[in-house]
Amino acid sequence: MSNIITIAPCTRIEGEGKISLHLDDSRKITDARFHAVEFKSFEKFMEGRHIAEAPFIAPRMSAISSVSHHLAAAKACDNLFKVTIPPTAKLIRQLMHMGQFIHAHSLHLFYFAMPDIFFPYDSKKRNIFGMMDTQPEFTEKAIELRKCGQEIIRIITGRHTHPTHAVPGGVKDALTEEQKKDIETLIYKAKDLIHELVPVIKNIFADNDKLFNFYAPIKTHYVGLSDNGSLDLYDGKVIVDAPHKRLLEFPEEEYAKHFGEKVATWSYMKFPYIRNQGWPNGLFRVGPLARLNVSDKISTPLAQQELKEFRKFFNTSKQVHGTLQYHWARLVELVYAVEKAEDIINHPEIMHENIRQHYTIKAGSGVGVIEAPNGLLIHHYTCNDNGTIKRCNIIEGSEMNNGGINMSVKEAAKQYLNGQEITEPILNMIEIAVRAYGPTL
Amino acid sequence: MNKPSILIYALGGCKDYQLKLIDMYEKLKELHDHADLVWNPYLMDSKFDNIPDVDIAFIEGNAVDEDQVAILKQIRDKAKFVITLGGCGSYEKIPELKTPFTAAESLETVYIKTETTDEGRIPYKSIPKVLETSKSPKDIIKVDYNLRGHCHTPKEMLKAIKDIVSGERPDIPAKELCQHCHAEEVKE
Repeated sequence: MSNIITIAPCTRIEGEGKISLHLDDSRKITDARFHAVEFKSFEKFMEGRHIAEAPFIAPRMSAISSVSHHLAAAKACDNLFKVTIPPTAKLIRQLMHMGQFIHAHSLHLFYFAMPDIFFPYDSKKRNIFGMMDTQPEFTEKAIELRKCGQEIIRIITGRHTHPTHAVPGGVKDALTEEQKKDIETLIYKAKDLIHELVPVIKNIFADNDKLFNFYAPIKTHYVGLSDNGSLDLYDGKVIVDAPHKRLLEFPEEEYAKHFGEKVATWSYMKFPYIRNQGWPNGLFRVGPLARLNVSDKISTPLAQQELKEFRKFFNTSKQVHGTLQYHWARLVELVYAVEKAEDIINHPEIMHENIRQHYTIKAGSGVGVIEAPNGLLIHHYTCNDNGTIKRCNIIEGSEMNNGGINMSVKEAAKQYLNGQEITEPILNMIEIAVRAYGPTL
Repeated sequence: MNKPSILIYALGGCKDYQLKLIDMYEKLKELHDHADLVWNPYLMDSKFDNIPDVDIAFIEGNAVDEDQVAILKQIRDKAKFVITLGGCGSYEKIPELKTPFTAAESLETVYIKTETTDEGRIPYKSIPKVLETSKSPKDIIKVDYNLRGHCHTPKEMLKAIKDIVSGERPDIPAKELCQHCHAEEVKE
């Protein structure tokens, strides 16, 4: 006989999901599933709207990743209208994107993930308030770091979330000297905070090395953008790697040739896979760990050093496998985002006033691919001569990781439910698998 | 009202107010000092089988499926005051965009027709049934206040919460920043 235990809702993530655990009479796990329970119909209601609206409506898919959705839709429009945006426009888009990475990665690490490490047995304290009470200095700095990211977005776009600053062909406004100065101040503050926080977090991770190595140690294919071997969060070719082997490298417009999506009857989130590997062999993961796994190097010095240490800690020259390793990879990318923001604000072309390329509405199809904090994000629009959207396809990072999340949940369930009494801390140990991926459902 | 207990729950929508809560930054502690946040799945390990009695429930978004309707009714039973947050919570806004289409049409497009979907089918097992049209909380339960408008700043949010917890009618600007939000603002 099968008993089903449901964990609902999964907490400390954006959006709504639940876990179902199928147990036999001896309380051993027979199956475990992660269900996305909220239906989003963006792909339908974008039909009939004007293509130039896409960058403004699409961010509503997610509050945490709204800048990435905004930019993926804007990039799709650029490609649809065949415009090359001015270099300064690209820099400004990338700068707001780095602001988002600083805020989103800080949010997932400090507000959502760290409470599991500090309070594994106490569900009442297992949150940001528990951290404020017991680790006030550390938490204050963590909150401040996230604020730097959100403030960079606000200074550039006028708001913290759901921006409307990028338009087809570029961005609406150039930076003013005052904005530049304020952003510089935030970046230097973020850099100081990184110097203080990163060693502390790495020590916490290293102290939990057994957990990192033991917990749901899954291996999959990995997918991410790369610019000639370097980590890239805005542009680049899509790389698909198997463990220790390059499988594919293709430009963004070819995504539909290489990615397919399976539908399960029990989740509102589909299961993307690599077509030439078939299903389920073609299951892959995206996001911080996957991005580092497809990159040879990182272009900024501190993050490159962190990448080296990360690989050394897990005793590998390139790919790191597992589940909780996502958090460590997130930390490496957080360092990169701060350094990259500094590179951008110091770029000689950042203050140029040519920020928008004229475009003409015409019928066509455009794909925009970008790295959102939780993984590769694809927006694809087809419109007619009037600019009316006829078809839309969006595949976002949480969905790309759906196969991986389910694998990790199942593996964790097998590790922690082996016949003993089921308690809240044990169920939380299974839920940790979901948080590792930072889904936005 | 002495340090009231509050819960915050997000229905379907853009989840902006969940994030606004965190955008109080260091003032989140101040909120915590003014009110006991006792149930909020976004920041805390709050589960559906353990929704406590509270003084104030804040609701973001629209109900888009049958489970959300049920949770909303449960929350109404447990809360002295129910306050909706933002455009989606108070009127319909983003979830309203799908109103021109039937639920069946939307499901068919997403799970069968999109370019990358293979052997599409409509999910139905162990997940809630989608409502034909999304519903504003006020169309399901009695709502005591609406915090209208959208994209309020963290400072405005904190002021509103302080107003409510100190027994005052919340007074924050019902401004509209979203160029694609067309629903007419309705004054109480």
